[in-house]
Amino acid sequence: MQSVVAIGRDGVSERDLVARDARFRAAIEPLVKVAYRVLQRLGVRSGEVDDAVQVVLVAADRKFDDIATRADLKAYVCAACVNVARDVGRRRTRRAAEGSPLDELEEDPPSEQAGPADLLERKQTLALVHHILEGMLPERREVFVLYELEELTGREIADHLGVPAGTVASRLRKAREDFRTAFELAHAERANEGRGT
Amino acid sequence: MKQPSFPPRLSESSSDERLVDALDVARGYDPSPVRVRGALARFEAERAGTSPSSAPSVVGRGTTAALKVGAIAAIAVALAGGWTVVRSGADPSPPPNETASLNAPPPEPASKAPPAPAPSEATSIRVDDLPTAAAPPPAPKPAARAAGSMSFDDELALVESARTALAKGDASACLARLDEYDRRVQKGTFEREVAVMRIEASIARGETARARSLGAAFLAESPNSPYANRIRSLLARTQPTSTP
Repeated sequence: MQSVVAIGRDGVSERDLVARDARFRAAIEPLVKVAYRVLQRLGVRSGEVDDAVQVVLVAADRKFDDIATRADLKAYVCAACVNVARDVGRRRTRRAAEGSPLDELEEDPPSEQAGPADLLERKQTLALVHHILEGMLPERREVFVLYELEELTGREIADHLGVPAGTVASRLRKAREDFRTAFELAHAERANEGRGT
Repeated sequence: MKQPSFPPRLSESSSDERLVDALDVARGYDPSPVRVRGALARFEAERAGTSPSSAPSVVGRGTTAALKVGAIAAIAVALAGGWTVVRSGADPSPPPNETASLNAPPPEPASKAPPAPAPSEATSIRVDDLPTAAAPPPAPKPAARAAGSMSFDDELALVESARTALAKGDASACLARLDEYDRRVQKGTFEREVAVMRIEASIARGETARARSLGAAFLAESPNSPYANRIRSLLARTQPTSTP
């Protein structure tokens, strides 16, 4: 009988497994924050996102040996986030879906020198973008987030979401219109509020 | 078959400066690095089978453990020093070559042993310098960490209430809770975070001399702490421009 110490998953030696896991760790580490922000942008809440990230990491780990480049791995992680976010959305209770406090967007302030006003404005901008994304149709939001914010290519999005490139282009066009409209509306409302006070 | 063309990204092509700025801010959003490290540590713990819980199959509801990781990370970051962890250490994971093969050998073989918060070879921050709360090792029960009579949950709640008080501008209430923490917990999980918060609260209450004294003591003891730059920054603001 072979030693369980020497032989690990699928008959691969433990040394190979360790090396493979080290490669995975080096490759996935910069993408963990990508997973967090994509999930958040796709509507996954603060109390859900830690578990959701774990699901994405497990999926990426399982798929890792079939992925050739870092760009492919990022695209795969983003697509996995889309699927996990959809799943989270389906499972979530209506009550849990309510509210989008600014605290959910806790992040590193951009610099130590940034003053409170700068930080507040940045947080408000993040909240605005988050709010607009929340109001978008999920399939448009997914494409918008991956293309405009994560800078995947249209082809990557199509390949990893399993939809035709034409569909991606169409969703992107509509998503951009939605985003622009909501953005202008938000600023118009803000301007009106400013005049009213 | 004709391939659709994709337009330039809005942030590169829009004439609406506000829109471009907003997208730039959104693109620059990075979640807390402490939280990110916690996620990686948790993943490795579960993969190595050292965690009581297996890989999560339910993602619709946060588990208690997940919520605690989030809360700990939030505290570690929000307690004023968190951002310094990254800013002072730079991005621990600089953008790699996107087309690089994933089969390149890793920098160093990683251990499959129970996870550290972040293996030192992958970061520019020494593990010892990470906030103690960043990524709790899975083996000990959280409640066993507080050396005093306080459970982990109570410890967490107390620190969170102190942070909330400080965020609301009530430095006195913050300090009262920190005093309670010191009374009830010895060598607690949030020892460093409490120290940083005490400095901030002292400054907020105008007790600059005390803040300087606390800050100097902290820096003398932990000059390489990820909170060190934050404390230096805080202390720099207390430098008198005129005699009080």
